[in-house]
Amino acid sequence: MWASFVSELTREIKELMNYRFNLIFANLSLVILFAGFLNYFDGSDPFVIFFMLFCWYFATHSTSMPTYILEDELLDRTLITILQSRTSIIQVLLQRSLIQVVVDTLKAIPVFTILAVVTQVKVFAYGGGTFFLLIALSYVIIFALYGVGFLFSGFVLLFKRTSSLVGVLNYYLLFFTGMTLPLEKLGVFRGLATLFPFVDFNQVIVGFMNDQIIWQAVLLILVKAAFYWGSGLLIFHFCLQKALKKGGLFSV
Amino acid sequence: MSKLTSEIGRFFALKKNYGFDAVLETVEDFIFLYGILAISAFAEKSVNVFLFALWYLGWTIINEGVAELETEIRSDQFVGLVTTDTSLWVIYLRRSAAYLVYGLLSLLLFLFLFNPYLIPELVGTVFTRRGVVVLLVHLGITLLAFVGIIALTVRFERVATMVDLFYTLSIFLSGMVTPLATKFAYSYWLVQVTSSFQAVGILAILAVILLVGCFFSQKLAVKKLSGTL
Repeated sequence: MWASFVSELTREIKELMNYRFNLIFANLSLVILFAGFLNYFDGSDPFVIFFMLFCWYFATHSTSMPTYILEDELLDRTLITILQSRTSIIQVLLQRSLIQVVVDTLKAIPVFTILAVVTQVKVFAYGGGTFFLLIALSYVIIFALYGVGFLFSGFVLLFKRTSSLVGVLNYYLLFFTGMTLPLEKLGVFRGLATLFPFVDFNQVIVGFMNDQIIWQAVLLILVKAAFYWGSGLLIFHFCLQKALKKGGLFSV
Repeated sequence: MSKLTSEIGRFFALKKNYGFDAVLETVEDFIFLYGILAISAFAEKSVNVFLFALWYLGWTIINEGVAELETEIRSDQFVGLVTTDTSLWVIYLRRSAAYLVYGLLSLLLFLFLFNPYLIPELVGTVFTRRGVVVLLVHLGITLLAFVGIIALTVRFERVATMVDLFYTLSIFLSGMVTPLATKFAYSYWLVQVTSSFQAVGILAILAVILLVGCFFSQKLAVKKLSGTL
């Protein structure tokens, strides 16, 4: 298990290095976009926005990576080999998702260090403990959102190409879930925003800034995480069974 | 003219073929633009709809061109394209008209969804002497950048992320989307093009720089094209 994890991680990093210019330009674009946001929010605290953007940086992959992985496997006609092997497809997806989190962490370190330096956000303004607790909670949210990713990836098994759908979700998360724009400005999207954990995360960060822990918000994040994973695995399993019965996994 | 209309028809037929993807890509673009404009509104910085429209049209031409050419290179259709009688640059300049029509339609749809009152404001600004001059100058500069970037795509094959970097930079630093009143902003000079000789001079220098860039990137591309054939 560990050996396959390490070899897959090494392969992923080597593949990234093959496209190093793309990697640099894509991440520089994000630094500029984030710096623009941080400079633009006169009313909001840059400390809050910083952690929200940190979450979003990973969340874009949380919600889309399982879909991309399955689409690739389907396109390469290797999905059926995985299904016939002794390793379950969920285990394969979990391992590769975990690798993605590690790779994203490696990319996020320079991106957010540059961002903190350029925008002069004081990430340790409320102490190192607060910083590390917020990073830890960010990872809880990131892992929780992989449940949403599993949910959407199930549709690939039935409809073959659904990556555009998860692509739409990325910017939706950024603007309409309380990450960058306050809840009261979201209008008709307000109700939907409460389905995501960012409103609660916002409360936790503000609480930490006031030397408090909002347990209710932390609990809500955990409940939502359980809900995402529960529904994600359930729908994925349902789609897999239906696709196997239909026999549509042998061709693209 | 018929070649131009057939290029427009071809482009829309292609969009229709990948209808679901095309619609979702447009929705993704709209969400992003809606978010940026909503943030501007939240920060109480008013957006100039005319400049925003120019920015959107310019970047639609460039982004669509790069995306289409990259796809053609990856799927080996590019070889067929360079062996036709018509030069690659003429083909892509014709295609830029298709991208412009598509950009205009999606812009109107976006403005209609975002704030329908912005459409009469935009129309009112465009159909003035100043509006027409600014539009033509911007389209001229965009086409120079477009030809240069197309040439770079031919040479390096994957430039979309680099183009995306400039796209992101332009959101915050061009003054076209988020208001910016500094002399380093492109919009600062563009809006003065009918009233200031200095602005004409600055934009002429920019055009010359782009023209030189086009010349050298085309040289690189031609070298690559001779290798392709």
